[in-house]
Amino acid sequence: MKTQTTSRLADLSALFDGETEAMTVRQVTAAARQEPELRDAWRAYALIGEQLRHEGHAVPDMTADIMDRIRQEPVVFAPHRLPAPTRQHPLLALAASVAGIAMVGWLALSGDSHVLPSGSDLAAVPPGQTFARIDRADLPPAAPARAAAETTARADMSEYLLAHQTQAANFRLGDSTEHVRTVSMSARPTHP
Amino acid sequence: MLVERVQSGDQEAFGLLVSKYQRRLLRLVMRLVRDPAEAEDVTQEAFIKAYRALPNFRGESAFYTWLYRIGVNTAKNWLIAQGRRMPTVSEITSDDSESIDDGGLLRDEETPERLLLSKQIGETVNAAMDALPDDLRSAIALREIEGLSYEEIAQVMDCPIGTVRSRIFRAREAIAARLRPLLDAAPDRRW
Repeated sequence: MKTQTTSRLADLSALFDGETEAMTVRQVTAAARQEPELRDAWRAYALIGEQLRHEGHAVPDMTADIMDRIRQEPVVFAPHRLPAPTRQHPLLALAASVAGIAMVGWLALSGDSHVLPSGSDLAAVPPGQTFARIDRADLPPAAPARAAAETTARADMSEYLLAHQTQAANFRLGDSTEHVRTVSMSARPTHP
Repeated sequence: MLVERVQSGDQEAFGLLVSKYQRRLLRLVMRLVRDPAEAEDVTQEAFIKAYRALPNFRGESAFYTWLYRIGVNTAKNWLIAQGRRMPTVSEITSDDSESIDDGGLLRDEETPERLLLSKQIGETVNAAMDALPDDLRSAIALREIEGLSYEEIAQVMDCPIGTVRSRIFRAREAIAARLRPLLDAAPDRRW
């Protein structure tokens, strides 16, 4: 108990000098509210300082009177001051607008680069330039046996569907039949 | 720190500020108002004004400097309301006005009991200081008389800040232990 009081008094002494942490301030002020011993010590510390600076005279202690009046006052809450908004240069807004328009325009004009090139575009591209980035070494290794089996099964199914398309009641390939067949045939792997 | 506590709504923390600064402020006001009873009223009024204005205190100056200005303005307004004038302009505006010895003003109004108590307190503090070990006496003197921070004292005394904190506390407690019988015996605990 005595150790605890001594510790609080040490914190009080540091608080008196403004040399303590915020957390300790809260604890010490709360304790001082409850314990007259701490309040007496605070007054003694103030008196000692005044005597050492030769400021001490027998003057009345007005703390109780003042605090009686303070308790009638509304509790003070000071809002945290927000930093004053910095006034931006008006040209900054204009520059930002122009930059935004330029960005949108650039995206609009260069947006068709994602579309596959037409045949004439491909013809204009020198061989090897467009597809140079695709390298088999970059592709993940496939499981050879299983992949080959799946490809074969898919090709056989395509063969079957193409052969029986006329018997399907609600399935019409129409004009694209030839194209589909061509793709299917071209994608068909060569069997060993 | 205490100021921030009050600003965050801890009304009672203001009592510690009052307790710490009341005598200094009263001495200042006494120089301006001259009448001890009126000076007490003005000092109390200044503290109330300070409490009300505390949300506007931004910590750009020391709390006492801010309180000092409120005390001067309150005393000035008080005198104007009484149809009196300030003693001199320089005494009001000079930041050094506190350093002028105003003990005479206070002593004129003190009762013999208070005068005796003042004398006893002074002698007790001086005797307690003389009895302190050198390191404790130096630490508290550097703090209270020279006004150094703990960090500065640590540099001067070539020791950790924690040691400074401990030495100042032990010095205060040693002096306070000698003072307590006097303060407890004070008739109205007014010293």
